[in-house]
Amino acid sequence: MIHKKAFLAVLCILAAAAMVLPAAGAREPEPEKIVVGVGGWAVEPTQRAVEELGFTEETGIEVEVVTRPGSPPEFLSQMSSAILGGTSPYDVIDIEDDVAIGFSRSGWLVDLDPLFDDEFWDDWPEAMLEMTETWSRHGGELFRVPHNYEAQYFWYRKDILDSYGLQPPQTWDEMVEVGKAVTSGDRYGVSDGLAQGAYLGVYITYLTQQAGGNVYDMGPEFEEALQFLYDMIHVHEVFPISALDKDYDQVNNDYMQDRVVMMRQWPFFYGVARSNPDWFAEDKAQVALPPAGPAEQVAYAGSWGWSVPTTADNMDGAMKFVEFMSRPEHQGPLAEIDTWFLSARDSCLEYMDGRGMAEYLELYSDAGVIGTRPFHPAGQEAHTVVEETAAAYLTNQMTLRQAVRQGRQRMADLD
Amino acid sequence: MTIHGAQKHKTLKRYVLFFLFVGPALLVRTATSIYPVINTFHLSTLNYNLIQQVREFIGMRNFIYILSNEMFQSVLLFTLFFVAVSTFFQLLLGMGVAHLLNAKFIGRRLVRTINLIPWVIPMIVSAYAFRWLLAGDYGLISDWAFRITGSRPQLLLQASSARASLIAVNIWRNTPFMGLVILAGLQSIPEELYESAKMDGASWFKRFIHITMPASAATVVTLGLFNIIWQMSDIDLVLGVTQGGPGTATTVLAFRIYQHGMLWFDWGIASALSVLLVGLVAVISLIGLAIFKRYQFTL
Repeated sequence: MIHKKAFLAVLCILAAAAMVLPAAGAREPEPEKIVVGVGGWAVEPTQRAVEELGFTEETGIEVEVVTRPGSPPEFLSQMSSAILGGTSPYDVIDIEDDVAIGFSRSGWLVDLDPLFDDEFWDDWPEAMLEMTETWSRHGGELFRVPHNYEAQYFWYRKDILDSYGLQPPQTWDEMVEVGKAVTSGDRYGVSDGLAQGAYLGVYITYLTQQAGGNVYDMGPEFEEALQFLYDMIHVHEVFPISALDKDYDQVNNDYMQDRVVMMRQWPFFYGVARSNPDWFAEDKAQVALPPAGPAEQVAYAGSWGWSVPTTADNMDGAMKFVEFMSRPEHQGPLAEIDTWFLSARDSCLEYMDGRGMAEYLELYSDAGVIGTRPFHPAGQEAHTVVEETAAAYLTNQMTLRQAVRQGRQRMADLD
Repeated sequence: MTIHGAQKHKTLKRYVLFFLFVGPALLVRTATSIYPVINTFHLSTLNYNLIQQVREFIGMRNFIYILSNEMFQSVLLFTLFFVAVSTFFQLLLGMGVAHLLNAKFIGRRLVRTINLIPWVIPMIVSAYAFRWLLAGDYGLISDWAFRITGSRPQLLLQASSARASLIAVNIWRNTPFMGLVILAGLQSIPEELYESAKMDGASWFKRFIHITMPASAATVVTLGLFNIIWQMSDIDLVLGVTQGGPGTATTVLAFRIYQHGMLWFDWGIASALSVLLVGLVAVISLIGLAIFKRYQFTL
């Protein structure tokens, strides 16, 4: 049996050792660090950017670039639990438009305005400023600094169209005609990633804008867009129904396996196509202006940008990172590293001088076809209403009239 | 100190000790269970949306809106259909599996272990695996169909086949567990009962109806009840296999709560839906308990 005094003595020795040992073994303090959460596709380019631009050398802050969940629902779930619990897995996050709306309205993002003076905004063209005002500001505060300006591009297989003696379509009708000519066997004329959960809503918004309307109004233009897509799938059979269950990676894969001839896609496909050298050739991934709808020839732009959660561990480090990555002199080199950082900022386009994806961004800008993304204050919920309405009709669960009637009612309930 | 004073002191000491020991557990239980329930009821009476930045008392309007809304009605109906059909087949097939596993054959223990594999795989993993299996262009099941019929069925893009697929995956996943629990029930039935019945000339079917069924009824009812409750609040399967689509064809109540609460930050509606879900589970539980009492079996 251990004696009481002996037990207390051992306890005192252990306590003293616990206090002394860490001091004896103390090393130099750990370097300051921040965690930056980006989509899986942007991890490598962001790491390269940090290294090549010398962020750590300048600030002494080490950067760990990690993958954040790619789909908005998963990311929202992760971040809402963390922020409500007073923490954050990331000090800086790279976020898209839909997510930005939810986070900013919830008051979860830090005001970034103090980082920039008026001169900073001289580098921004009018269209990007307008987009920033709508999608990156709330209550007078800047909660996100866009690092790209992504129009939706119309990609096509020039090699295949040439073999048929065809030109890329200029209108919706021509898209159907060209689609009919090149569809055969497993190969479809047109496709897109249309899975529910963000993808379908994007394409419906794009078509509705070309029909002259705002998708959230669910007016006659929305009906026209839905009818057009329905006909391409079910009547003309130039668009695979399976696209309704596919994301962008899957439709890119179809395109690069020669199963799709034309598709609408974001600029990241430029890098995806070139990362597949066995398949890639210049005439396999050409960009044309978007086919004009009944009202206009337009493709809206979206953006991703840097934000800092209010619960970030290293707030100062995070702010330094955002300021560093947004400097005008860094925009060109960033776009050179990856199209993920390509924007229409003057400094960026001047530096790129029509190289890479900048050529197409200039093509679209000069043609004046880049539109502003429609906005709804309810964000994701409104987007889901659009998707569920469209999917119900496109999968033959309802007539167009029934689907739109129900959709309008639900949209009205959001107001 | 008088005797009365000493007794009083002793009682007080016991009370203090009681609260000292029970207090922390009570506090944890209150914080993690009672408070959320009360708060959910409170939130269900508010128009509370973080994104739209509103928080106002609206009484029962959330409930009126939900119950009169066409979309919510169809979600509620599918939830009941999904849970009822899944549970029925899980019990039916579980009973069959239990009988097979109760038979004497070489390797019985190994087969009983293998039987549990679908159940021990995390639900979300199974769900995503089936999403790939059922996919129209590249899925294995669609490929088999193509080899046999020459066309690829888009199982997840038609309301009826998406619903059937979801229910089938749910049955595949939960039947082994049902079978195992029913098996435990079967093993508790004394062998003498069957031997006596055999001596009286009762056929296999009659033994099943008059001995096996009544003796395992309590297990089946309890199991069915728990399963209904679990499945009512489960979202993993829907999230992984169909995401509630096409349209809202496979959206269940729990998935809608997740969307309203975690994705759209519409906590008023999410809470009202949660209260409705609790109400539904309570009603089903009461019915289940009544049935349980009726089928209590004494050996």
